[in-house]
Amino acid sequence: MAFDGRNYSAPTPVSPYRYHSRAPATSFALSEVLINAYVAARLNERIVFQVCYPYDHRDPAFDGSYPGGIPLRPMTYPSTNYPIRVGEGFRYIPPEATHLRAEVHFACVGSIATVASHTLSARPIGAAGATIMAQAVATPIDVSAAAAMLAATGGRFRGQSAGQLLGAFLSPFGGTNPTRFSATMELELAAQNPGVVNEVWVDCNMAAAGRAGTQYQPLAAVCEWACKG
Amino acid sequence: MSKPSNTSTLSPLALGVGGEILTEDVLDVLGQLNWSFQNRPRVHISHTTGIDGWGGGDEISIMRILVPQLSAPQWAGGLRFRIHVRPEVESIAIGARFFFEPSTLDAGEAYWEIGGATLSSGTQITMSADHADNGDEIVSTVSTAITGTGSLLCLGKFASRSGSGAANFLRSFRVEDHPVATLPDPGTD
Repeated sequence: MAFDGRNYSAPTPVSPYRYHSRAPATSFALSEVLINAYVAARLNERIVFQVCYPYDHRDPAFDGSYPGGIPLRPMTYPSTNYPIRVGEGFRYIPPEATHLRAEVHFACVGSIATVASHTLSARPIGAAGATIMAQAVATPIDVSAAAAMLAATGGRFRGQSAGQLLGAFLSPFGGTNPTRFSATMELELAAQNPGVVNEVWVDCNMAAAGRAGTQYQPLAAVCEWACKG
Repeated sequence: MSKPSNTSTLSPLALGVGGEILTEDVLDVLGQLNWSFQNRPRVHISHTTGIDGWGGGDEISIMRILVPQLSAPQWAGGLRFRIHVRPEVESIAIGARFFFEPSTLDAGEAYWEIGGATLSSGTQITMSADHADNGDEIVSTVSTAITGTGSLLCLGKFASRSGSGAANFLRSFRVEDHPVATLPDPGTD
């Protein structure tokens, strides 16, 4: 039976002292070493892309008009039916990868209720006109009207410290306090994705109703490949 | 004896507790270990960058790495960062995606300095791109025999070659190791 390393996820506590004796080793010991090799390989170097939007951590609605402020564009909203591209990158996806995971942290405030959804897509490059082979949509997030409270942005992302980039904006400073959200999504790769370089991207879409009354600003996004067995 | 490096078809389910090990089983495991070691290239940095509207819609600017709007080529500093490259890495890949204004057929260049691969030594990594490359990633590689390994300072600079579009910019970039082609021999301390 061909061995599929994705199916074995637990690292094994193989101690070199265990094999110090001159007693014959058994096949069980060898299987432990083999499993460890796969697990160690799978846990390494998974980043596909990162993006961190600069903005005034004191007030997300700040327009950069006072001295010393970080020049930035104020919050905007999808003004057409086209999505807003949040982040993208190119990455060789290892053969044993089975999924992509992405997390988007964003701020949103609306005068009328709307829905924000994020899409993660992957497309192998190299073939002319290669189509999107895999796509996933995060759970749509309802943006309530006149959202004035701060929502927790916790978004724990295994093996990724994007959350550390976001700690600074938990303290508002005057102005409107947009609600901050995080959306996570997981994409199961098609057979054509692993083993080649892929273009990977995350878009934000908003429902037509209420879009014009909503302001949306991406804050940070990260994507990594994963093995799930 | 050459170093084996291949994915294994040895299933741990075939290895019962207390069962005998064959020499070929050991070689299969060694081959798998070596293959895993070689094929785990590290991504040092992979960032989306760009100006307002960088995705063709209502995107907000990120790092605003512009390719200068100049009639004559002139390099402008854009990026500066540091990476750590392990000693067994043999080559490093740099990928970049640009946007050049198609209506005026704009084009430009980027040069990257990675560690010892510098402009002053004539070993910088140079990329050329134009409006026809807008959807693609430009990739170049450099040997660690030139860059060195360990902690490396990296610089990215950009210049226009033709056209004067004000919105020519770097859309995303990455720096990562190539998979190791030959397994290193054990080093001595």
